[in-house]
Amino acid sequence: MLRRILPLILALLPLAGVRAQTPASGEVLAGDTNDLVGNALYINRAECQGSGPGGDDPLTLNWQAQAESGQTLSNGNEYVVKISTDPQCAQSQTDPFIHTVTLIDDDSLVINGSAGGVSGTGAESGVTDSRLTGRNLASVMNLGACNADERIYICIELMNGGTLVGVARSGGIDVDVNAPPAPEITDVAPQDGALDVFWTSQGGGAVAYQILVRPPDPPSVTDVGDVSRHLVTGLTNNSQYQITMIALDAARNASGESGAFPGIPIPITDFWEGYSAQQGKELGGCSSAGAGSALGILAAMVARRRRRGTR
Amino acid sequence: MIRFARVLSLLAAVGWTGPTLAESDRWGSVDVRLMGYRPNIDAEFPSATPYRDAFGGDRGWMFRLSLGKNIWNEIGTLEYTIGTGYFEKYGEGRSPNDPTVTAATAFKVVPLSVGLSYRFDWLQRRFGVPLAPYARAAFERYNWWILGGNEIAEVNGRSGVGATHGISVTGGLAIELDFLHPEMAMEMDADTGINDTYVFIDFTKSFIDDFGRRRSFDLSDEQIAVAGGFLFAF
Repeated sequence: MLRRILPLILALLPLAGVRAQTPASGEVLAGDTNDLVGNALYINRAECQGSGPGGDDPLTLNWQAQAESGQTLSNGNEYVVKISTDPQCAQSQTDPFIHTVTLIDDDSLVINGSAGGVSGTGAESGVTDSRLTGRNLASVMNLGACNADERIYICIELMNGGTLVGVARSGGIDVDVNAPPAPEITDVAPQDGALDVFWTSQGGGAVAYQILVRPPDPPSVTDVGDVSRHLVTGLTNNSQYQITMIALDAARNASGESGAFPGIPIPITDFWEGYSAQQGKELGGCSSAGAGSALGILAAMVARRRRRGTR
Repeated sequence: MIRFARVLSLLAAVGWTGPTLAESDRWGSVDVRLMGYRPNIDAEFPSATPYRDAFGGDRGWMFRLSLGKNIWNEIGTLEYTIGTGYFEKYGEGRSPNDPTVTAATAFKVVPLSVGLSYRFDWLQRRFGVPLAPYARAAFERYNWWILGGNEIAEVNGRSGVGATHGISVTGGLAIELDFLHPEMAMEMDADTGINDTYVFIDFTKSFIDDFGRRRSFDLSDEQIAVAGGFLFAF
């Protein structure tokens, strides 16, 4: 069984988020469970402000440093995390946004081989540090006001006695603090114990929505993807509900609530109900008395023929 | 009758005059068919028509597939058969509060059958006349379920799922296609083991009402069902 399931698990691993991915040589992958879209990484407004559930959680880094020319990686290298607006995190007197965070001496660095003794890669996974929160990253990049979008990069530099021996760089992290506008609900159609909600996006990079149903209060919330219609089920017929919606962008910035749209689920007579209402005689389930007899006779005939055939 | 005899002789003349290679052993047959179907559910009511109200007056299409095992093939071929299929019909449920408000409702059936089939292919195998009348009698079990919206319909704790049993009898005519290209037919036999390929039309009368049980749907077809399809003898 495991043999059958294992390929499926391996196939699904890429969907499990960046934490489960292995970075390529020279690459940093940063993980943030709060984002909505694939491998792209975002720092949204709540993370920039350090507010809300999970808003102050640090990023998780997976990286595999590539040895610099002529250098060999080894255990015990100190590494620094640099945050920059430059993809190469190049040191420059003119770049005001180079910042370094020196992390712990690492004694569990995995050295993944070398070529001719002069190069190699060193991988590290699951690195977290309380300083690597969205709020701190935005702050050191002078984005602490959380009112402007920016793309920043994380670089890992392995040092050995002050000498740069290996680097890894991220593909970029979008500081996205602007929420999309709320969607416009265009219709709420009654269904049997349900409401069919239709809406139009108002743009702004919305990639998902939340449907809020009141009562109860606080409302029940249904998460849906990038669609324009959803059937909210589990409601009580002939009761009035107020429907509002929230748009979410890829960074999970949430819009304000849309205007409320009322709806009242009503009973709808499906075929089974219509049949039963007419006092139809079918009650459902299997009636097997006659069938059992017929099958028994058939089975006996087949068995008898088989016995004859084997004599 | 004279005209039919002329057709037979003509088909025999243009047809295959007998294989030059030995054909492969015969095990049985498989056939696929498409037939019209409309259950006779409304027949139990004097005037109400719940099935028609939900699904309209049109017939639907039922797909059937059956497998036969040779048990005798001296003068013609006798087989016992097992089969299955699929039927679905979608319609609209309506709100008693507001008839303009509708929701999908569906009636779906997966029939299972076991039966006996006789195909008079002796003329074809003996004289190359590519016609094979056949008949079949089957015990049927129609497994059905009803959807209200996207879920199984339910009324007072009784879910719209069940099975209804009955019998069906079929008569039809199969036209063997091998005479159109005998060499290709022999090649197909050598490559795949398919001895004969038929196209057929048949007529089925079904009695699917749990043998007259009082508390069952009548899923017999409203009329004699006409079906067409292909049969492969192998």
